[in-house]
Amino acid sequence: MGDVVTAGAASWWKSHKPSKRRIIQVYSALLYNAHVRGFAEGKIFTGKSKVLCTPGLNCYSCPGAVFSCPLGSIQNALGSLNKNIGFYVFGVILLYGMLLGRTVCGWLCPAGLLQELIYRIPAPKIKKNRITRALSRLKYVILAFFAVILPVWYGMVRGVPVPAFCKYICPVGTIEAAFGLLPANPTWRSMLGSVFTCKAVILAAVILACVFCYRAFCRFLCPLGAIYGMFNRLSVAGVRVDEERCNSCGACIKDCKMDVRRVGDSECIQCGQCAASCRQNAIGFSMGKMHVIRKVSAAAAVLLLIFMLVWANFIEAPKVGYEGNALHGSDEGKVLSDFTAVCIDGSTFDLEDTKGKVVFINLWATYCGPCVTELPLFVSLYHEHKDDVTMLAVHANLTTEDVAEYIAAKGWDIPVAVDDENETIFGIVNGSQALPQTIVLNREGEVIYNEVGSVSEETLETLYEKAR
Amino acid sequence: MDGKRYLNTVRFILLVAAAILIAAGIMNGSMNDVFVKASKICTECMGLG
Repeated sequence: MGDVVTAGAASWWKSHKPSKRRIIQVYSALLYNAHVRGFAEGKIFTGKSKVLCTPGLNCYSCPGAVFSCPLGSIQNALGSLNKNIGFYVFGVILLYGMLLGRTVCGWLCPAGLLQELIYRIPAPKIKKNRITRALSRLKYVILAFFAVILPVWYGMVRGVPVPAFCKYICPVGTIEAAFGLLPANPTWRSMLGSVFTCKAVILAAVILACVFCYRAFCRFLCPLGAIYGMFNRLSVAGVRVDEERCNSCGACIKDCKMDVRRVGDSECIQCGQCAASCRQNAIGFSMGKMHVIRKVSAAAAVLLLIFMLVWANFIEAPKVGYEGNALHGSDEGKVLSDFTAVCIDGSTFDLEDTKGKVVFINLWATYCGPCVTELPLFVSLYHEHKDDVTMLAVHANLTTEDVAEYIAAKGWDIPVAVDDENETIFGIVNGSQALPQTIVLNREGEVIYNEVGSVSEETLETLYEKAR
Repeated sequence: MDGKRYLNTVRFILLVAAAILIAAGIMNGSMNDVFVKASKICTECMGLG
């Protein structure tokens, strides 16, 4: 009896065990999102590993993400070309493209893994055809317009950074970041508007499409896949055809679910599944001189994952914000703890001196589009009620350019300070890792408003009236 | 130059270019920019708006 059970289990395992590719996909997804506690706490990871970009698509606003997203980083770099050329991210993308090409898509992308799992849902499947082949060109249009032209236009010409693909389309950002952060940050739900609605609809459409159409997002929408596809024929690693053995039967193309015309072209995700179709044994996976990586044992990979899990969740986890006492705090109704800040114009802002006035504190950054869009409204309010209002705009402790120069160029003459490296002011006002954030105090120093998200002119006036 | 040698030459040149760009990025602060923008996120940039 015991032998029968064991044989049955062995047979089940043999038919269900994950392939090496699936194991590597799951491993990559775990490694990229090792900050597991972020999902429970609703906080993103801010450790130094975020200087590194993952090869695959993984939103850096995901509470689990311990690395940066290459696509988001490209858009940010393009949007600030007039300030600082993003050599680093361009070099990283070139490196990944040249080493791996779309091997990233087939083996190292969590979004690809998710789509393949969704495709396993039993449903009629749409086979590739002329329409899907034509649709596969769409991702190049999306790359050009949303990932290049719009960020350059908004960032360099309009002076408002907008990573347009992230903001308007990316379903990975919606599912990882928006849905990842909202449960633990219920007050953020008031921010949800038309942009979120559109993105949620796009996410739903992509998920539905992936049930019927293999890797619909990869094939038709992903700009990163479009970029890596351009390197496919040059990349060191990838699927290769032995031309001497190949008899051009086309079985590999016929069986491939992607819109390939030949193995290894720009649509090929280098998954290597075509090797099973080839009766000539002409297809194999080549890693060039990177074959030494095979010698890195699974144990080393597991050790790396364990290290990242421990480091991201216990050693380098985001610090908890300042905890006020029963009277003081950053919640509505509490009195904000006193602090002083040296402004960039040399003056000193002392919260204690502001009693009797309405206080507006705005948390912002030069690289935050909605922040730089709304700050002029604060400037107008300040000038309109100068005798009655005290204002302080606090730039995040991390800067990408000279804030004083930026302010001077914009002509904003409200008090502006840059938070220190310990994020003292952000901590006192319970500043989150998302910007912008506005805090309003009444004349008694009590918090009447403390929310993340943009504010309109009407909202500011309403808050002023309420605080008076 | 035969096809394979040409391909390897192009690969080598582009890989060196990638390394130079990354080094230049570390020196001009664009690597730090990647870190900064991934640590303090813009809510509308992830569609919360």
